[in-house]
Amino acid sequence: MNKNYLFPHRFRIVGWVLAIVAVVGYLWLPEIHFKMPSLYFNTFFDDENESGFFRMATANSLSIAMILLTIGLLFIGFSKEKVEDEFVQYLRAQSLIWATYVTAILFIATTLLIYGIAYIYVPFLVFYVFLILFIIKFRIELHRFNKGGAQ
Amino acid sequence: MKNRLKVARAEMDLTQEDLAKRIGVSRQSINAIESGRYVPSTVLALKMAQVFGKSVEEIFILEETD
Repeated sequence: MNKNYLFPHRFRIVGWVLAIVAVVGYLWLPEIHFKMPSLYFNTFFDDENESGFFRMATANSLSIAMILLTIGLLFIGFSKEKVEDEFVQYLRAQSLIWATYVTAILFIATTLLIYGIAYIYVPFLVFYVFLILFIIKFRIELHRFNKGGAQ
Repeated sequence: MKNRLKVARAEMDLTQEDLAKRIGVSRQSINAIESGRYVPSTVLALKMAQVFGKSVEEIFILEETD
């Protein structure tokens, strides 16, 4: 009955720290490269000697930043509110549905309108756009019901 | 569905915050229920009725369109 998939309230601040570290860290040190074992790796020219399963690949700070940002945004969006009651969960669900639709519209529009190498950024950004839209929508909805009627 | 929550609250001199604390919900919820934008669960409706010492039907009233 009371099962939900949310993190404790204090995870929200952890989420902000992770997200800020991810963004600031990447802007500060964008070009750190290191070797990582990979599940699948293929080089730009699909060189047969180097491409394939279980090869050593070169990763950079972007990989770390993306992982931290993903975890950070999840913590921000999916930590319980101080009082996480049925109405807050209703707003959460509504905001998730809204964010899914808006992300889908943006995804379709960018797929129609952006071509070539630039399109690489679209699938790459879509999950972050979704999470950020959800977070903004949910906060706006909560704020909307926070005003008025206090007598 | 109409509700007489605001009146019931005024009769007992309770703020939205007071009522929210008594039944363990957020103030946003009381605000949304009062303004008719959210229909509470049966559990929540029963809890509110208990605070006011009334029956649920005295606080929440079905409308033709429901």
